[in-house]
Amino acid sequence: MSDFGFKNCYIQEKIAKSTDLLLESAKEVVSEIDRNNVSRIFLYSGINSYLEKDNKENALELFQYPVAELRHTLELPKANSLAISQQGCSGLLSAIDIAYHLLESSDVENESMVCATVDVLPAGTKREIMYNVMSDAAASVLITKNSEKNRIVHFHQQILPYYWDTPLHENELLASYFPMAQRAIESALSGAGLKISDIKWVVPHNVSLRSWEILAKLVHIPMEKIWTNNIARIGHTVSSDHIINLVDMEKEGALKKGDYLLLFTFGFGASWSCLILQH
Amino acid sequence: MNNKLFITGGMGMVGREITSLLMQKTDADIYLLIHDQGLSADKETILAVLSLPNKKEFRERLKLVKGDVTKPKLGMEKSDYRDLTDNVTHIIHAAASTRFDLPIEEARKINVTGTKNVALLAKDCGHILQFGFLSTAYISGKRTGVIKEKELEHTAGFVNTYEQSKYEAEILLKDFSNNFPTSIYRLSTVFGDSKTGKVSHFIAPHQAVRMMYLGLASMLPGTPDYSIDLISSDYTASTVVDLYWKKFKPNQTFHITHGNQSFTLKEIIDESYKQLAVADPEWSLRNYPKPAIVPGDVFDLFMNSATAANNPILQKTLNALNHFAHQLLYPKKFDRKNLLTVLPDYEKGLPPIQEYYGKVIQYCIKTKWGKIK
Repeated sequence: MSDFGFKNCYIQEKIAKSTDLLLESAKEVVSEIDRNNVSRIFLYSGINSYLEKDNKENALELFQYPVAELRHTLELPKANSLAISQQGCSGLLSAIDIAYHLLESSDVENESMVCATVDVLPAGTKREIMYNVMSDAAASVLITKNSEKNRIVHFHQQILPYYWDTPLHENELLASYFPMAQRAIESALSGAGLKISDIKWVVPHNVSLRSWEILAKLVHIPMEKIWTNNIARIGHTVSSDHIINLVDMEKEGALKKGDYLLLFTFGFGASWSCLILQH
Repeated sequence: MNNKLFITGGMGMVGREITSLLMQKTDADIYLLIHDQGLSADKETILAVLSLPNKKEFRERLKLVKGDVTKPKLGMEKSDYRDLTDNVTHIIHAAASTRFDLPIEEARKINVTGTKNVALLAKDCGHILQFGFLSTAYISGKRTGVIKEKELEHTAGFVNTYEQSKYEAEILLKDFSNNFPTSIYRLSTVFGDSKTGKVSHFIAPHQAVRMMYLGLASMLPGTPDYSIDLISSDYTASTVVDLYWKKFKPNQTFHITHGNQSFTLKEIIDESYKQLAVADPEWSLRNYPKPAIVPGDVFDLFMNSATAANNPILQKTLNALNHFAHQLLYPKKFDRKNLLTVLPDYEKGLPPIQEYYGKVIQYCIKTKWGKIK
């Protein structure tokens, strides 16, 4: 995997609990806000976890919802909680887009929404999936009206429904990845009224360094503008990559107010998503 | 004495149409080299492949000779070889491997040694009047800009072993220039029949369209405005016959190409998707993206990734594209001064690729790229 930017892979013997990861990230985003203003929680998971449960003995366990637990633990009395899934790595960006549009159409002052994501691969799962190394992770974001940071400028998603059956269409997916990625990024830029040269940073998915080397040339952006530090360090996490990267970029001092950021990812199903933010 | 014409590669992509036209338009006896591993040497079968009626006159004029151009004296029976050297007045050497992915030694064996063996036969012929050689416009390899018919030698290199071996064959023929009068016909990429869309040999451009049909065409190297020169097999054959039979010019070379009105790379991708959708409406519902047009280094990076990822299907697909796609990085224009001097109405009769491209695509889909006869 070193050709794709992965130098090392460490596997913990003890798999993290998804609820622990989720709560740790979500608590942080609501720590300094009035929790009464949170009107919705969207919890996204990209893995079809419901298929793996074997609850024949007690059917009630099927209704034991992590998103409800999240609402309870975070003490969000007014939040309508909803779990969403089945959009692969695009899921969190789509959830952000849904929250953004709901807030845009709402008259409630100071309303906010939490978008969270968690994915933990079951024990024993192969961690190398289609040329990337998978890690377990959770991430949460708070979407507010008139945010002073990371203003949502534009979201664009290209979909190819024919590719829904991933195992059957694996090779077609691989072949279409780059032309569709190019199209999604160019459409997002056009929708935002920006040029690629306006983008200060591309916040990548951490699927592979090689894929970014190719895509960078396709969309004419220098590799120096793609923040790839976490590809080898963390790997790919289904839908948490961008948030983890943004947090680390901020810690590193890479982000300055007013910078345009381009977040791009691909999700099985199949969708190519691009979110443009202004820091 | 009737003219006696020996044709190699007479069952090939353009060769069979040339043979058919010569059978119809001349009274020459035609000696057709049949590969000793190939079709059964049965005149009825051969006439059917040539789309000719099985009539007495044709059966009498058609002589089938078994042999193999890669072997000394074409691997023929001594009596057959002597029959040719005693009687043949004309030779058209069209036998070649048009595969782009052969190792160079294999390509040389067929295209260079094969040409040498046919040239040696011509030298042995006591009554030889004309020697015609089918070559490719792409012996120009990685040269760019205007390519003149009189130009041959260069050091630009080649994209594939087909280009290189045909180039070497042309160089070799120069050694025989004092032995018999030679004309060289450098063909562009032959795409299909302009009237029916029929394709006898599915080559690189057809395979590229197949990749698009299968949703496996990710990217193509080149620039959007690169001109893709494709010509029809029927017009190419009739042009060769006119140049060779009616207006033979010794020691001249001709570019038989489509020229200025060719599709650009972007146009041909767009047209392919349009025609595939017309030919197979269900295919269009898949919404396969068109391949991205990328610089050579990006294409190579993608190729290397597919190799590193050890994905056999993607690798096979890309390899199929790789042996011709790099030609798209070397834009060139083929000058046709010699051709237009001899055939001033060539351009008037040239079927526009835009008018028959769809027919060829339909033929490809109907026959599943030659799998269904």
